Amino acid sequence: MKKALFVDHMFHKKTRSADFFVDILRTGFAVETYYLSPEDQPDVGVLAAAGAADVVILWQMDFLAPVFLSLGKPVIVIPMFDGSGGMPDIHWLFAHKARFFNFSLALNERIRMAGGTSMLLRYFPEAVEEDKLPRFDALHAFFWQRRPDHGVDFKLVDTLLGDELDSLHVHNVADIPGNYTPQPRPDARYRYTHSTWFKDKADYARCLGRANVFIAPRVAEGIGMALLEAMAQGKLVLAHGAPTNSEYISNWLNGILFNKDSPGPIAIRDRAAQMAKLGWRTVVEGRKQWLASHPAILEWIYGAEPGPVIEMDHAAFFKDLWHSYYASLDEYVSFLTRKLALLTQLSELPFDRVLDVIGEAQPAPIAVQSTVRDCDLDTGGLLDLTREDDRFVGKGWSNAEPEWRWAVGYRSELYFSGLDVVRGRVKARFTASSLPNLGKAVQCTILLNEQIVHEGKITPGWSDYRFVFDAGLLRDENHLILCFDKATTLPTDSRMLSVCFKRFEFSAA
Amino acid sequence: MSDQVNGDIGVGLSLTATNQEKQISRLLICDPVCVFPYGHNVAAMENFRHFVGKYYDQVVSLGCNRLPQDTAARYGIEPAFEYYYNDAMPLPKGDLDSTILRTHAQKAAAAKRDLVQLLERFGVGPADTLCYPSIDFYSLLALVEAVDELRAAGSPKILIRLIGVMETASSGQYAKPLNVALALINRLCDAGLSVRLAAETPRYAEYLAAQLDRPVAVAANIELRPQVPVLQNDHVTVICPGSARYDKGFLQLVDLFSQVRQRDPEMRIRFRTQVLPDRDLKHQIDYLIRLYAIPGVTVLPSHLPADELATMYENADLVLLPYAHDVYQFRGSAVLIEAMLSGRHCLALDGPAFVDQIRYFGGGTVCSSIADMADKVVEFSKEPPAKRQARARQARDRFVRDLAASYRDWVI
Repeated sequence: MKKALFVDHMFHKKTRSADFFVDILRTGFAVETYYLSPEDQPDVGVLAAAGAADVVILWQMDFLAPVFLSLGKPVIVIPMFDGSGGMPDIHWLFAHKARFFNFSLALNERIRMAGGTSMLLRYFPEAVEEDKLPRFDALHAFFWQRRPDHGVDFKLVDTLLGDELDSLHVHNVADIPGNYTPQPRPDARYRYTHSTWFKDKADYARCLGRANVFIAPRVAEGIGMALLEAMAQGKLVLAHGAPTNSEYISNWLNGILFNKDSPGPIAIRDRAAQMAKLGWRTVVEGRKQWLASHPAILEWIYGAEPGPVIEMDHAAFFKDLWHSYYASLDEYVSFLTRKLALLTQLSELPFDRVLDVIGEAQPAPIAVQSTVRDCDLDTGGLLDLTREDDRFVGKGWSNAEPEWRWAVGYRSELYFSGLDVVRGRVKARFTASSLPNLGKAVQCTILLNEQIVHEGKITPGWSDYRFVFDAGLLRDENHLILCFDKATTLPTDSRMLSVCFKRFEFSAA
Repeated sequence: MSDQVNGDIGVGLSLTATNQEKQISRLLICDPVCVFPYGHNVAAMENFRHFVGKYYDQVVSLGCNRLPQDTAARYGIEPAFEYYYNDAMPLPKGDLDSTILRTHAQKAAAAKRDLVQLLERFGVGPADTLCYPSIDFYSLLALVEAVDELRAAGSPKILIRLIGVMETASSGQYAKPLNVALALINRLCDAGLSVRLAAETPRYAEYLAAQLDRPVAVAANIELRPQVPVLQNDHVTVICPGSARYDKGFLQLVDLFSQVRQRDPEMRIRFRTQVLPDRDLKHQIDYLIRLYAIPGVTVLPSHLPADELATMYENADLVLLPYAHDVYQFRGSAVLIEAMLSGRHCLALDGPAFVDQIRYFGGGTVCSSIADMADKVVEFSKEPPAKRQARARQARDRFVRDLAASYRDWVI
């Protein structure tokens, strides 16, 4: 049996939160687990341990991938969205020759589009039997106040559900120091209880088991074990709308996603049972797929190939990398940027690709010899959409009407040239109104020459909207793409309409 | 009857060099947009080779010279054309390629050069047929520009099939490129060449026939795959195959799937959908997450190998086509044809041209809105598999008979 070295964060030795994955590994490998502690000095013993392994598997500690790749080991990286969701491209480039598992779709796509080779996984725990599902005659919530500093706190829960609950239990044990003692309102309609410790896991489980509503305690998750356990037990789950919470909860279908930054009271009583049941069923079905994916997990690891052994002082590199990573993100990126020669050896990527990443290369403009359209802006940088000669109009527009023009469908294109701003910033203002039948607003994304320059909501009724972009984005002929999240037909109009526009105006900022 | 060249360039050249004297009937299938190893163009080459090639002694398939060599070798496609469409359908790293054609003038010149070289290289003669399975703008332009050379070659027959996609890809040179395409076809016909026209959909054929005042045959997408049995499952699998795009209704899917899930909380109905290509997906990650989070939804990559696509149909019960009616007002749908041949019912939003084929052949059901489509998904899920199988077989048989007849009428 092949040997796998499983490198994990010391914290997980206590929480055992990686055990479910290690158990799968043990069906195909002799697994040795090596814990590393960020609080300690770098433990170079892990290099010797890797020397005896056939494959190295990094749970969360993705930054260490180049260390083991440089040893010529096949490396599997399992990053987590909450820890690595914001890492820059260069971080992923140093792990280019590794294979990834991702428990987050958002992170999977991030890494895949950065050139990584990734397999998306979706974990689901065992669900309780259907006859053990809770009733929803009354609403009893459980909330572990773990990260009140992130905005998911008692006050938020009270704002969201204070008028709905029959009882609320707060387990007030924060992950960070400080006094975050909840202050229940005297007139609260629910019965309030709290705890600060449990004698053992069974006590905690009993307390949690009395609830049928569960509020996920953290803004973002790597997997979301607590949330998934609650869904598996048939509780109604509420969570802040960010991965991976948002990847398991379809809002108001099998749970509720809230925005911690703009909370308001919500009415759940009528639909709680239905949503909780679908949440439970999500886990039941998901569990089958998770179990069925285990052979593919092993195959994915078997398929990882070693890169070339890089001749260097691996222990020194490991220590420098360790210290820079835990110093700050800036220090870490700076360290990686100084190691580009190593990167080209490790990744086997051409140097121009490396430079593309370092410099955040823009798509090269197409070198047109001359403007192919007559789309010069009018005086004052005016792009008048009501012009009947369709001067600026590409795909996705209706005919010009006397005072406006409709965007038809979800994507409309405009062309313009003749904006004489060479450097600095360019101000853009446009006048638009969304179709009232589409609700309060239509989300509009505008790309100028393939770069996003504006994202925002357009509401019914004429309003002016503004955005600013760098003059360096401009070309001889410019291409605006407008994307909308909604469009619909009307009983009297078969076109798919979304937003109507009057004009765009451009000027130097 | 068909003696195919099978991609052996040496054999092809030796057979063709003397064709003006030998008068062997030969089909030269031309597609400058046959450039990606995935998608419909390579498959169309193969299908035309078998389906149209049977009327000829020899077949030569000619694609873009940037088609990956392994794909070209596998399908016997010879390189013959520059790539004229990097602005419309970019090649990987195409924007960094300094040799790629950029301007209208460059493309027009290259297209004519390619065509003239093709006539010389293959010794094209009067017994030959140039067949364009999905004519593109610059090929049309080249045909007109090379009228003298075509006449000198003995006026080979020209089969032009329009599918409402690339015949208007004029690099932004014209605000009304279809008008230009029609004018080019008229010019070609007026030059006395033997031009046989076909369109992918009946609606487009009617439109073109009226505009050109010439007969236009209907030649739907060729498909040869066998009908596969409907699976006997506890659940119903609904698929959205093909690279999802904005104009194929990708941004309608969350609404549609959510509505179905609300009506089907037992999760009997499952969805499998491909997603946007990366160039669009990177702007729609939040939307992708919403789609992914809906219980019972599986998201698949934008591009899937042909065998996985075939398996997708085999494991499906129902195919969704929530396409934009404006973009598809004249267009057909390869997915519809694949679904019908596989024996899978389709649901489509009303408006696109291919909806006429759905109605005529009974290959699916037309929906008035996304809400209506959600209702019909639920209704369909309650139908017994045997009923579905019989209905699909009837639609398929009628379509296959019609397809054979319409191609024969166009080609002969």
